[in-house]
Amino acid sequence: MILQVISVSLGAQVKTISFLPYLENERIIKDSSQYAENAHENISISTLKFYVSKIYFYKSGKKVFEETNSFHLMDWDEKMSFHVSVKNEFDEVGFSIGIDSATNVSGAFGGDLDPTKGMYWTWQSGYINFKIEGTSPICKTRNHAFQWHIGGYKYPNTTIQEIKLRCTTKKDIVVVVDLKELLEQSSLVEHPEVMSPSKQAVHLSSIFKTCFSIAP
Amino acid sequence: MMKHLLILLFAFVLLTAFNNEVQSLFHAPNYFPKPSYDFKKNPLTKEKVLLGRVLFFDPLLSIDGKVSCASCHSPYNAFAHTDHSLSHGIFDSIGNRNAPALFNLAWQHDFMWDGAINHLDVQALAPISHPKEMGENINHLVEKLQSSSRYPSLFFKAFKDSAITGENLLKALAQFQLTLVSNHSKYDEVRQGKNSFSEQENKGYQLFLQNCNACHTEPLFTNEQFECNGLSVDTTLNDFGKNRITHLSVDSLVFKVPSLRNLRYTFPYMHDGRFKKLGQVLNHYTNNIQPHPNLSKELKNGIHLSSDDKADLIAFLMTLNDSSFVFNTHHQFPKEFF
Repeated sequence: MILQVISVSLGAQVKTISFLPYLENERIIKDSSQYAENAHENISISTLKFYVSKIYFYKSGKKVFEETNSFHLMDWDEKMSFHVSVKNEFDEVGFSIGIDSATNVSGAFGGDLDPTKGMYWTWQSGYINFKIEGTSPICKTRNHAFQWHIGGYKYPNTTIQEIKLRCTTKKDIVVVVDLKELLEQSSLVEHPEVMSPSKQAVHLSSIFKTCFSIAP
Repeated sequence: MMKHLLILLFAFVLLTAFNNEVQSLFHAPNYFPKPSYDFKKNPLTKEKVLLGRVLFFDPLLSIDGKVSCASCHSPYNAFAHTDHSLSHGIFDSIGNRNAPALFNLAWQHDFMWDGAINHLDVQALAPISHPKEMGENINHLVEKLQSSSRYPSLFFKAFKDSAITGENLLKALAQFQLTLVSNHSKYDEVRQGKNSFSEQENKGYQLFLQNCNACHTEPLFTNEQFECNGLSVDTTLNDFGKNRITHLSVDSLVFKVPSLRNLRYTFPYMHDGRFKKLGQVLNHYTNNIQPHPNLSKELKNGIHLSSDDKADLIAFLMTLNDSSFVFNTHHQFPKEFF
């Protein structure tokens, strides 16, 4: 409340950025079977967590505002939105999915970056940028489970991805995360378990760009 | 004017007090290089170091409450695990590697024999979580510490917050380990002009400079790099070192170069503890180096030492033992807390 009063007095406005998980144009509900074409038939998702970092705003292609200390963990079980106080008019928002390499090599952090958040590997250093777990009948694993812990900050296994989306100052920013392209059949069948920096993790992260869009 | 002077004076006193505190906890001689650890991001304080020390010796950190960091990193062995070739963990598990000695960690930038860990702060996560070491997970550990009678007040004293976080737990453990500085060996006394080498030690030093210093670079006696030293593969372990992390063929059989300080306390030697005696280590380098595409360039032409040379070299290596480090009571079990 106090924060809001201060930001209003500076002429800033508080924008909420929220993320809505979708599959094939349908809102998905945690742990419930979801019908979709092909691979997505009876897919169920139990965990969805990812980092949104380095948020910045553009106006006519020029960077007008950058959030400081910008690290937000989106977690289906906890929160899927956060607030940013922006002073300027903007028509585009940019952010990264994942944690930059400088942060990855700089020791222990708190808040959303605390290693207790389940997004830090223990057997080797580095953040998991994007975690999705669930089941699909096409996975030939125990209980048909798939687990993708997508991370890696060192070349050639870099997995951080930048996203840039057109938006407007007038509304809060609602981002649709459509997992359709990510949960492709071949990946689920051939690589149901991705849990270290690898070629496959890089491939999966390259699909993030197609997953994020502004809600109509 | 007077007021400004007073403020300045006050700031100066505060700053000096702060520097003295850091200096009493962490001190290195002028011939040591600049530490890699960024102390500005985790400034040492007495309270944080003490908390880290209590945690380091507490078996509560393991899932069965029986294994502490000190179980495999004993102060009396320069924080190595003497007499055990491979590390021991919960439920009598035997790990895959020889627990390394812990000292002069502020100068290290990659940790573990394979460099899996990139920063001292996050190193402790590996043994805490490893199923053959402590078998815990950081969330459960934070809960256990929070509900213990000992820790909320110690965290409050250290961090002005009794709510325990993973970050503070790791930073406290790092602080204690940063204070493990070993620089009071005979070699150090000679460097400081307070002592001199015997004739044999001096011969050994010359041999060391010709044959060993390229990788075990003084004054830390490691170049902090990773090398293949021509050991044959132990087929019961099939440990290929750094390759496990990078999956690159150039990293196959490549391991971290350990420091040669405190060798008297840290046997057995090598990543799998295969050699109990220094003589065996020297015989490996003179007679048994296995050819390998990744073999360190320093070893390509072999190392040639007579048996007299080996005796001299060992005499020099013994000047790197630091008994005042090993018996430093500030590094030992804080029994008043248990």
